[in-house]
Amino acid sequence: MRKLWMQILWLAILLALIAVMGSLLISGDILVFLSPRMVPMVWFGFAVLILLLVYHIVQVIRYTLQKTEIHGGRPGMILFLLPVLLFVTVMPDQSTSGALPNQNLKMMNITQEASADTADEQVSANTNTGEYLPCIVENETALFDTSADLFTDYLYKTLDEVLGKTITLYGFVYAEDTFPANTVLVSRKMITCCAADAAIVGFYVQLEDSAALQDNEWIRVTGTVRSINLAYYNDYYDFPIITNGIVVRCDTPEVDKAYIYP
Amino acid sequence: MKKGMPTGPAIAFMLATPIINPIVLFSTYNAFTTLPIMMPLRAACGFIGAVVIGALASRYAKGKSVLKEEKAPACACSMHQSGVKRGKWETVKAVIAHTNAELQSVGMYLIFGAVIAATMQMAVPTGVLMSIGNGRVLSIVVMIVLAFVLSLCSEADAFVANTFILQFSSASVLAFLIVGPMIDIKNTMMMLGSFNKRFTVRLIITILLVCFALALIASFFLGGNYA
Repeated sequence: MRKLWMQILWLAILLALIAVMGSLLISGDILVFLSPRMVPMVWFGFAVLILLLVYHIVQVIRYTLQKTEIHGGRPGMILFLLPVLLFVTVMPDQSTSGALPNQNLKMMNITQEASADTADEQVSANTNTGEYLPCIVENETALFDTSADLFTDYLYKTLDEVLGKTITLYGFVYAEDTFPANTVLVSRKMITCCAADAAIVGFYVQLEDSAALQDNEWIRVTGTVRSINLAYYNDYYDFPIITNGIVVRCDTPEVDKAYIYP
Repeated sequence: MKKGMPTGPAIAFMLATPIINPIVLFSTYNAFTTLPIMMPLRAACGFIGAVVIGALASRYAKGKSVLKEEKAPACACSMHQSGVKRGKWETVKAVIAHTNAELQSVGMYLIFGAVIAATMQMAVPTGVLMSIGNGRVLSIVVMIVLAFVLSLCSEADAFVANTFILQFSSASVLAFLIVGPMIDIKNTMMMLGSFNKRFTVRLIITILLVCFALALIASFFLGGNYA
């Protein structure tokens, strides 16, 4: 009897895992956890789980009716329900900087070469407190597109390549105590492979009053790229900073537009 | 190993595979475009480390099995018996049965290891670790600890490691790249599920020491500013 209950428990676990995985794959929310190039492997795993479910159903029926031998089943199997429980209770989303590993910001696009065009003056951006607008605008006429790919492109460029250019970016507001006054990061979560390597990447934005924006609020920023010299661990580096620009609040985009997958 | 492969080659295979494969090497090459030597170095150190650790693991095993004793067979298939003729359909059923059994036995340790790894990633103040990583030896130690705690997969760890290149020496970043795929929190849990405890502990210590030695030797060739 105990053996039968163990097999039924395993059946229930397989069903729960299939339900969770299927829900994530069909809704597209799997991209909250994984880079798109890893998704085919999850589909493969999903297919294997279904195969195992069918196999196990057949085994349980044969065991019940014909008393054939059946193996497997361990008390520790209950641990498989933990991912299911976490999915139901603490499902993260793309709109916040939460649920990130305790790693530092990934400060890219910095160089030790001194730049002649530094942001000495407190040039600030206007903060439009009007209605929410969509973050992604079709037929955008800005100099650069607002797609996630170009956000990544900026991150891998050197400072000299973007200095002085007017760009438009969207992301959520992120700030730390170590940032200069009235400066926030317009940022995105970046996943290279899976959520374990997730990090925040972004560009500094200088504002008239950063208190007008809240953490994790999604904004679109159009401004000119200057450079700012800041301490980063044991040395000083030039970082790009968007100044003298327009900041507009916008809606949280869908997960495939919210994350960056380099 | 259950089919008779000696401990040494099996361990070397287990350690080398996550590093020496086209996907990982290509992602390392892509991540370190400003430091192209990192990809061949990672491959070379991964190879040398796997061979040395495998040889040492053979000595630890001393001809005995290092696998955990299993009280009952995990599945009802005939795949463990040599010389048994089986049809294609029987083979397919056996593969499915094995998959089912392996998922039950290994999956528990994987999930438990993932929980611990996620907790460590959120709880361990990596910023503090990174701020003390000065010096030739200490920077390597810090990066090895980071690699163990972060438990990243070997395809993505190159991009994460690249962001440390400004704060840490190339040799310590190399240590991060070779230790991470060999041993981390999740791997430790899975090893404890498959090998006996004594062998697992000795293997982990050996991996850390060998990788540390390789990174230290590399530090004298790669250069860098050390406090």
